[in-house]
Amino acid sequence: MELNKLTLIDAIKGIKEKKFSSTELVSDCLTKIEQLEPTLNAFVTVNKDQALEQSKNINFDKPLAGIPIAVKDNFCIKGIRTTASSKLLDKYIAQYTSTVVQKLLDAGAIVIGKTNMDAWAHGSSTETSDYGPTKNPWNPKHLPGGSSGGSAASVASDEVVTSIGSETAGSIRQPSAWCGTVGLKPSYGRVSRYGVIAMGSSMDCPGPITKTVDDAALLLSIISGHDPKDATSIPQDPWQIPTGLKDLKGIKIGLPKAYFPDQMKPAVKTAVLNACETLKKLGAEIIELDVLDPKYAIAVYTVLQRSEVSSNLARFTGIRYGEPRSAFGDEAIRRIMLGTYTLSSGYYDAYYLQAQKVRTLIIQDFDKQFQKVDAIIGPTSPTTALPLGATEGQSMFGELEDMLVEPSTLAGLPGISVPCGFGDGLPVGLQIITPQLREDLAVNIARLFESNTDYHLQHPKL
Amino acid sequence: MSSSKISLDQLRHIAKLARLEIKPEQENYLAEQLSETAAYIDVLGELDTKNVEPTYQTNHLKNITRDDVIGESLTQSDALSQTKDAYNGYFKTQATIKK
Repeated sequence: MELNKLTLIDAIKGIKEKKFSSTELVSDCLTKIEQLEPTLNAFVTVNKDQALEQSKNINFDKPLAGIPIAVKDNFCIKGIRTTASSKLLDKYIAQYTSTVVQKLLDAGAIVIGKTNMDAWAHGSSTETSDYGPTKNPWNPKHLPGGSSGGSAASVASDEVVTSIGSETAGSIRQPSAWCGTVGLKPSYGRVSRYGVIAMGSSMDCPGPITKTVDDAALLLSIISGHDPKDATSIPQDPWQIPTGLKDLKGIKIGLPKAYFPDQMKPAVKTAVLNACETLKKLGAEIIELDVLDPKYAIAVYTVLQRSEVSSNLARFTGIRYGEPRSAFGDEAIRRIMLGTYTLSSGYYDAYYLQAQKVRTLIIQDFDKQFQKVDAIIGPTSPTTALPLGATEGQSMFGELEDMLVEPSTLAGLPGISVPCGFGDGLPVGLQIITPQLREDLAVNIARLFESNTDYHLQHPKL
Repeated sequence: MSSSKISLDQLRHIAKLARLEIKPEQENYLAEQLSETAAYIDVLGELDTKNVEPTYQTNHLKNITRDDVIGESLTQSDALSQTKDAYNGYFKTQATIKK
């Protein structure tokens, strides 16, 4: 039996009903990992012995009893190597545990390994990892997207039943689109950032990358909730999984014209327009929207992300932990340099302050749109997975790939990407964006879409 | 809006501020890449933001503090566990003032 192929919900059920043991599930995942890692490189660290040991002692009362989970390598876990895929942290053993992982452990989960990512989460390809790129399970000559590319590839290839990633702008949704998984990016502040190696602190957001919408909803209900250790954590109880909708009657869904840029791959456009038809059949009204040109969101994000990176990475001096600053890779250097420039005397007002003001305009634009519609949809990424090497020499690669997720990120909005088709054998993702703290609506639309399509049931042939 | 071309002098100044050592053979390439990105972000100047307040953080929580009580924290040995250079229970750093 290949238990690794199960969804999270089915794996939980199987363990609780004693159809199989946690050790059998963990073993099947480890077998698949051993088989596929030479091709995929989705993991930086696999906790084989520890995971097997933990699987022998399960508390069946817990919601994730005995469930192995893959966690992106920017989440600190006490006693476990945490590199953020940078050689600067090659030997770093975390001294404390991030809130998200603590919540998963408290719920009975087992961390089976730490997944590969763009170094410091700087990118949308997983190609900037100092441990080599992760490959796309649908075609290993292609990229998985990023920065949570390892998490998405490990789920899409059934190396694991489920995973956790993090998003600053697209890092959950875009690799989900490219790998054919479900990626749920919560509202900013819904999930604690404590213990996640910081990238863009005003945007960073942990979230699930899973096989189904229900799996993602379950994980969000476990990892969300107020955390006094994160000053931007929203003082609310953990998110509750909403009751499902029968159909989408009375729900207005906006389709921004600007989310179909010229460079869009035709197969992506076709898949998303087909998805609109499915949503219409479910009762939704689709309304075309004129939104602020995403080019402004790209510019705002570029300034804010680089600025926050230059500040966050200033702490890596090699004194208290890690290697000296000479261990930073090219992409980190580029970003620290640009961020130092945009924050420096004489440029702060023109770049950083102006970007924060344009961010306000982007938020106001979303507010205006949400007076007309309940949710906004569009392609998650303008392309399907690009070939390995596509990032070479491209200083704006990530920003152009993530142009359709950056506006909602800057506004702190939740979004979910679900599989909605294929182009040349590579998955296409549909994103659903809702107002702040309305994950319930995003999840409900995604659920109905998923249960009326079969894209999520298709598996890569590896 | 400022000129987007980043000169080698500017590059060296930024590197100094960021405590990064840029190898001479990388300087031209890096200046070119930074200029490319800087040119892209110049579009920010196209929008009128005269009466617009900046947004620093989207859920607008401000001045969040905790009560001033002693809680759990890292032990000294945990805190020092990842340094290559500890001395008498302290981190060793480079001197900031020369004798």
